[in-house]
Amino acid sequence: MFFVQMWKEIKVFFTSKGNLLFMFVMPLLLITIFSFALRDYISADYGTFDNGCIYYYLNTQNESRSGEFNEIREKMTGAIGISFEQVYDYEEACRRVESSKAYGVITIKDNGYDYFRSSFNEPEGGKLARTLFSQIADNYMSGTTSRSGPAINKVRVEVNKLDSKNYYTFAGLAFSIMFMGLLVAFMVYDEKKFGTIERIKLGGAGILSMVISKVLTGVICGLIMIVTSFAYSRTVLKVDWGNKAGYIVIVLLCLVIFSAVFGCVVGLWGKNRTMCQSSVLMFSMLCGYLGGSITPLYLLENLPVLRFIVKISPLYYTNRAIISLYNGIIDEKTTYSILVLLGLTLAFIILGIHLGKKVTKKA
Amino acid sequence: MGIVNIKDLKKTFGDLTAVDGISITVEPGEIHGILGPNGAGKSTTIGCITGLLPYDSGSVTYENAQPIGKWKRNIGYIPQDLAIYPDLSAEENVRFFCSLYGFKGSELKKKTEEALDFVGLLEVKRKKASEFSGGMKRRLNMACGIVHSPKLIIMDEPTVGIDPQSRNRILENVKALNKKGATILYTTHYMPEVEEICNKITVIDHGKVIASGTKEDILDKMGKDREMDVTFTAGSDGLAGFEEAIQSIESVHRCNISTEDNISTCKIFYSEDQTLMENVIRVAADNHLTISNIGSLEPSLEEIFLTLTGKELRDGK
Repeated sequence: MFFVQMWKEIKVFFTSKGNLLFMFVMPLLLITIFSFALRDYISADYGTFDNGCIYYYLNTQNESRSGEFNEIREKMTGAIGISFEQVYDYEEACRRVESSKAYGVITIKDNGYDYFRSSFNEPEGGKLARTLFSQIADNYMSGTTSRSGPAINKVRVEVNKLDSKNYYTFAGLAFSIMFMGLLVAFMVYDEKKFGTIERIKLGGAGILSMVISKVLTGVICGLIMIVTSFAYSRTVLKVDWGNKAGYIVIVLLCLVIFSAVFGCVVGLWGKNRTMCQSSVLMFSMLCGYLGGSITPLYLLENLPVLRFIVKISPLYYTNRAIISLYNGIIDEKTTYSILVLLGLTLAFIILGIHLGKKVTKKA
Repeated sequence: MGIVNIKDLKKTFGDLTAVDGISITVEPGEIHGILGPNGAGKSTTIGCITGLLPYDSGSVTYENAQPIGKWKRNIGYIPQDLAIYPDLSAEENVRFFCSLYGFKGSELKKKTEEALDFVGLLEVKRKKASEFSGGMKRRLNMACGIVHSPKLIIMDEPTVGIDPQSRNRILENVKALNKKGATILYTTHYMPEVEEICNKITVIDHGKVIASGTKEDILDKMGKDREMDVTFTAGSDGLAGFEEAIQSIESVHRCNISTEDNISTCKIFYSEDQTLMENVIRVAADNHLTISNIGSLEPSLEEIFLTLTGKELRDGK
């Protein structure tokens, strides 16, 4: 029964020229327009280490530890051109970090390292440098890297230069995926409007299988958008998705699922097409703006009040995670992004079940 | 025991009692019309019959006292609003609804084509539903509801807003389905349709059954007179004897004779009597009167309906 419905959904979806246009053209259009129209926004070397500096504070007499740190320091300077400066007043150094004068303060101790950073004002370059330092230091601490051995070279630093094409390939695609919820909302709403729900129920199928088939159709549509954008950005815009492309796709897939479930809930709730349309568009626009799909994240994160507000947008977590992944770093941002998206999806599923019961009663 | 047995059905929506103790029995093989003004409780009753709407109290059972459960697969539902997918072709629409009932392969194809042929859409089966005229869409809506050969077909105003040809086709289809053995539950506002196809009628108002039975039963219960008009050729001899003889017939309630321009007309008001016309002709002959015209008039269903439910508008009530 489910496959019958699924097949029908795919047929209905793919026979609509509007849907095809949306699926194939919208992401490419957004990516292209944003990439070229907003290129000045991204020319600020977002995520690079120009003029970046990390303070270090020696709190050990252990020569072996300080020698190890010097080695890490040289490697990092050689790899990403970041500078290190020794400080003697730890408190003052922290204050300077809080006022964006440096990325952080590394305290070298007998038993390892402490890294102080601004919890509110850490720039993207600082995050990348910190992640890199953690990876190298961890390798030393765990003994996988000998002090003078060549193994340190295995810690490969891949920091891609983020320009507008790279940034908006992902941000524009994520934005388009949010809009994809509209197609699912229409599919669900139309089923209510056409009164076909009654017939489906008389035939012995439930609303649940109908809803799942529509969400899955949305997911297929989302995947096609990702594949199309991947092919387009690789061939036309020459954007390299990096060696964490698989993880980027996983994060985007979570966004696709969230968007499809959200659209489904709007379709169940909406009293007319206009209501569905306005709700999805408003939500998508808000998420897109706050999530850095239009204005780049680094600008939003540096604005006094907005830096907190942006955190309500699921796209904020998605775009943040993708930037890290694009730079070859899998960190907590990827986890947060997946957790936020799946958590919201779960919340909307619960809401959808509640609304589904209402629709069943009305039907 | 009918194919559908509704007993003391009650359904409320908050403070509004939509159905208030309705009892209806739909016998197998009949075309049962449900009539009622807007807001009378027809759609709610149908919702309860199809099992799509839970009811507060009473019972709805089906063939051999079965609960709705799996029996709902024996129901074919043809809603007033078109329940079809405009972006799919006629064939895809019918095929989808048929496959919901577990039909596959050649059987699915056969049933789909039969249903499309039945409603006259086989030749345009590959055309998208959105490209159909209103009447064609209605017929497609019907095909989707009957494709699985249901025992009970529920039609909720299936002829609203369509051309006379399509309406005629749908009514012919309803009769044909009934001949094939399907029981039909039919709601409509068009009284001539009910008079033409229904052999049993239930009139609902304010959530209650206010009349039920054949049209004749309802007329009799309401005490509505039928009327027979007899016109005679010139000459009034024998009119007095004719009037007296007619008045003595048991089914006749009254008889008025008038003469104008040497032409006499007699209006006879009577209750159900299949032999009255024959008797009138015989009495006229006995009284040496020549009949130039004779005909009987029955009160229309619309008249009965308005008498039962009143002439007050029900918009939004």
